[in-house]
Amino acid sequence: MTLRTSLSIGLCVGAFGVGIFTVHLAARNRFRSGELDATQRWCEVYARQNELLRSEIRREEWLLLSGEPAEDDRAPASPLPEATD
Amino acid sequence: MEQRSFASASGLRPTSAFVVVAIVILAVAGRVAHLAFARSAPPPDREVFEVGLVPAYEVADAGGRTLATFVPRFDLVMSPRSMWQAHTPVRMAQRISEVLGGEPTALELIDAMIPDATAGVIEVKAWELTPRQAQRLGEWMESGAGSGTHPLAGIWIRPLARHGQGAERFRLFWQPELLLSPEEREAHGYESAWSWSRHLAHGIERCRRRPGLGDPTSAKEWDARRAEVWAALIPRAHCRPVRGIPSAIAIDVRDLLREEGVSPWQMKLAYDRDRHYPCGEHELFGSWGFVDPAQTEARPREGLELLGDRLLEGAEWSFLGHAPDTYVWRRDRSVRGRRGDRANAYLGLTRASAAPIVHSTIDLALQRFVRRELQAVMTEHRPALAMAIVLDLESGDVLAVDSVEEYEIQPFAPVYHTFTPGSTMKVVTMATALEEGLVRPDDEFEVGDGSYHLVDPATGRGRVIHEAEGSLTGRNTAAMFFARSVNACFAQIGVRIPAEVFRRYLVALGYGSPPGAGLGIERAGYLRGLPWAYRFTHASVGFGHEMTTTLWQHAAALSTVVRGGVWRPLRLLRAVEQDGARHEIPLADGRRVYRPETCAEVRAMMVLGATEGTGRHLARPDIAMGTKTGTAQKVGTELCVHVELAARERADREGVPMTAARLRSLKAQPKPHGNCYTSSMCVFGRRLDEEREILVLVVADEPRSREKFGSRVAGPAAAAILVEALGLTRDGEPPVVEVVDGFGPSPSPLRNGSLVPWREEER
Repeated sequence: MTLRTSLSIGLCVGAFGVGIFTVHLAARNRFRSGELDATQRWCEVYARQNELLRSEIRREEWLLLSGEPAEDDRAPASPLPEATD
Repeated sequence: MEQRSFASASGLRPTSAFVVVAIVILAVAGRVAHLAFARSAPPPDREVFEVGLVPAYEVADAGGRTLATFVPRFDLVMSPRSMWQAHTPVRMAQRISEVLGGEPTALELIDAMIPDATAGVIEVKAWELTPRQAQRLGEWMESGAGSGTHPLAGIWIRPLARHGQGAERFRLFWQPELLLSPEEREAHGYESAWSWSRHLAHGIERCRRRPGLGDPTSAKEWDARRAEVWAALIPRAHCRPVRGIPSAIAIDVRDLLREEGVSPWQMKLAYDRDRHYPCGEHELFGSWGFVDPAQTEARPREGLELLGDRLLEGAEWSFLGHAPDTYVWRRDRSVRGRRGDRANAYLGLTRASAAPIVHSTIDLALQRFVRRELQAVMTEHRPALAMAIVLDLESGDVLAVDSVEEYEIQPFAPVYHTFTPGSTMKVVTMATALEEGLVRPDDEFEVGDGSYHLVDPATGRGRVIHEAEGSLTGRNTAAMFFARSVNACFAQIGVRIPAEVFRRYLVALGYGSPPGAGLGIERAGYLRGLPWAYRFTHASVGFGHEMTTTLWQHAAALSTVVRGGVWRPLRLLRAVEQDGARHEIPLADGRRVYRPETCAEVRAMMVLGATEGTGRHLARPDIAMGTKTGTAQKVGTELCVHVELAARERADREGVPMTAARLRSLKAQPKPHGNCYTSSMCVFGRRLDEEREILVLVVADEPRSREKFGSRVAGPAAAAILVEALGLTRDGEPPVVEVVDGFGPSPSPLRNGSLVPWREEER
C-alpha cells in the first residue's frame, strides 16, 4: 500500500468520522433547542405569573398603607412551580 | 524511471472529477452563505414568528405608586371548525377539564368548545336541501356512511318549516359530540378522528352533488370541497372557551395540547391581558373597553387612562420604544420530547420594550383623604353631590380631584356637572373691576339693609337683590364687602364693568367652553351671549348667578387670580418614564389675564375673608391663608339637582334617553327639600415656613341639612383638605412627634400600639 493510498483511506475515514460527529452534534443541538423552547415557554408563563403577583403585592401594599382591611378570604397566590423538562 | 499513465475506467479524467466536486462544493457553500448573510433571503417555511402585544403604558401617581397596569392572562382559544376535523370533542373536553382541575367541567367545556350548537345540536343553516339531496343523505346515513354496519348516530334530516307555496326543503342537523365520538367512528371501522371526519365530509359532499357529476379529480379540489362542507357544519372558526387559566396550569395545558398533537391553528394557549388598578378603581383613573363596534381590541375610554393614551400618541413621544416580544421558533419534527411527542426548536427571542410609565400629578394619599372628606360632607349635609379639587397653585398641577354622588352619574362630575358658582365668582368680578380701574378696594358702597334696589339707569326699572341672613349692611368698603360676601355690592361692581369687557374676561378664563381636561365627556357650562340685560344677567354675573360652570373650569379661573394673573390649564400628567429614564412634560405656556398688582389686591381681600370675613372660623395660625365662600340660592324656576339627577339615574337604568322635553317636565315636580343652594368654598394657603401654595375648591350642590352656607357645608372639608395637602396632618391626624429618629407614637387607632401583638408581649 502506497503512502498515497494510505493517505486517501485515512482522509476518507476522517471525513466519514467528521460527518458522523456532525450528525451527532446536529441531533444534540436540535434536541437542546427543543429543550430551550420548553424553557422559554416556562419562562414566558412565569414572567407573566410574576407580573400578576407584582400587581397583587402593589394592591396589598396600598391596602396596608391606607389602613383598609385586607381581604382574608382572598385565594392564596399560586405556588412557584418546579422547572419542567 | 518508467512513467505509466493512469487509465480511468469511466473514461473521465481525474481533473474533470475534481472540477465537478469543486463545483458542487462551491454551489453548496454559495447557498449556505446566501442563507446566512443575505438580508433578503426568505426565512424557511418552518420558522414561526410569535409576536406579543405591544407593551401598554402604566399610570402612576406623583409618588410613583401604580394606579393602572396590565396584568397578563392566559386563555384557551380555538377554531372549532379546524379542531373537530382532527380531534374528538369528548376526549379533549375531559382531558382539558382534568388539567384545569375540573373547573369548568367537561360538559361545560364541550358547550363552550362547540359554540354553534344549541343543547349539543348544530342546525346546518347554510344549506336548504332539496328532496333529492335529503333522500341521498338519508340513504347514506342509513348505510352507516357507506360502511354497511349500522345507521349513523348523531346526524339527521328534518323538513324545513315553510310558509306559503314552494317546493319542500330539508335541513341537516347533527350532534358533534355523538357523531365524532370514538365509539361511533370505531363502529364504522375508523381509528383516527382525522380520517373519520374526512370520510364524513366526503360522504356529505357526494350526497349534496347531483349524481353523475363525479368526484373531484385533484386533491386540491377535494380540499376546497371539504373546507366548504366543514364551514357549513361548524360555522364558527374562532372561540375562546376558557378565559383566565392560572399560570401554574398553563404549562400543563400547553403540554397536553402538544401530547394530543393539537396544532396551533386548531387550539392554543393565547396570551391576553386585563387592566388592573392595584389601588382600587376610580372614575378619575378611567377604564379600558369598547366604545365603537368596529374596535377589535379594548382602548382607554376615559379618565387618566384616556389622557395618558392621547399623550403618548403625540409625535413628541414617538421616540419611546414600543416593540413587542418576538419569539422565533422552528417546527421541527425530528426533535422529540421525553414522551416521544413533537417539540419545537428555539431560535431566538427579542425582548419587548419596557412599558412606559405615565406619572400623574395625583397624590394618591391626598386623593383618598379628599374622598373621605367628601363622604363626610355627603353624610352630614346630604347634597346631591359633593366635589373637590386640590391644586398646586404655581404649576396648576391637580393633586387630587374627586366627587361623591347621591345618584349615579356616569361621566366624571368635576368636568361634567355644572353648578351656579355664586359668591366664589366675586373673586373674578373683583379682579376684573380692579384690572379695568373701575373700582378700588377702599371704594365705599351702600348696600341697604339686607335688600338692595338696583335700578337700570337707561330704563329706570329696578330689581331687588336680597342678602343672606346676618350679612353686612349699610355703607362699607369694597374690600370688606368682598370679605363678607355681600351680593348687592358685587351687583353694583359688576354693572360698572361693560358687559362685553366682562364677558371677554370670563371667556379668557375658560368659562363657557369645554375645559379640555381630556378625562372624557365634559361640559362647557353656561355663559350667556351678549347683550346682557343690565338688571338681570349683567348684575347677576357679578355675584356668580345666571351662569354655570364645572368644578374644573372654576378652579382654573380662581387659580389664575390667586396665582398672580396667568391663566394656565390644569395639569394631570407630569412625566413619562421608560427604562428608568424620566422625561418631564413641560408646563403649558400661560396666558396673562390680570396684572400681578390686581391679583395681589384680590388675594389681600381673600386673606381678609379668612381673618374677618366668612372664612374666619376656618383660619389656622400655622397657615397663611385666604378664603372665599359661596352660597348660591337658586331661583324657583331652576330645576332641582336632586330631582334631575334622580331622573337621569332612573332613565339610565331603564335605558331611556333623557330628552330636553323630559327635563322640562321635571320642573313641575315637587322639590324634596326647601330652597336649593349651592355651597362652595375656595381656600388657598401655604405653611409659614414654605413658599409652595395650595388651592382647594369644594362644592356641595343642594345640601339638605339645616346648614346652607358655604363656610359651614363645604368650609370644614376645604380647610381640612388644605391642612392635609400642606402636610400638617396625615390622614387628618396631627404629625407624629419622633421619640427617636424615625419613630414616634401615633394617635391613630389604626396604628395604635395596643393593637400590635408584639407590643402586648413586651408588656
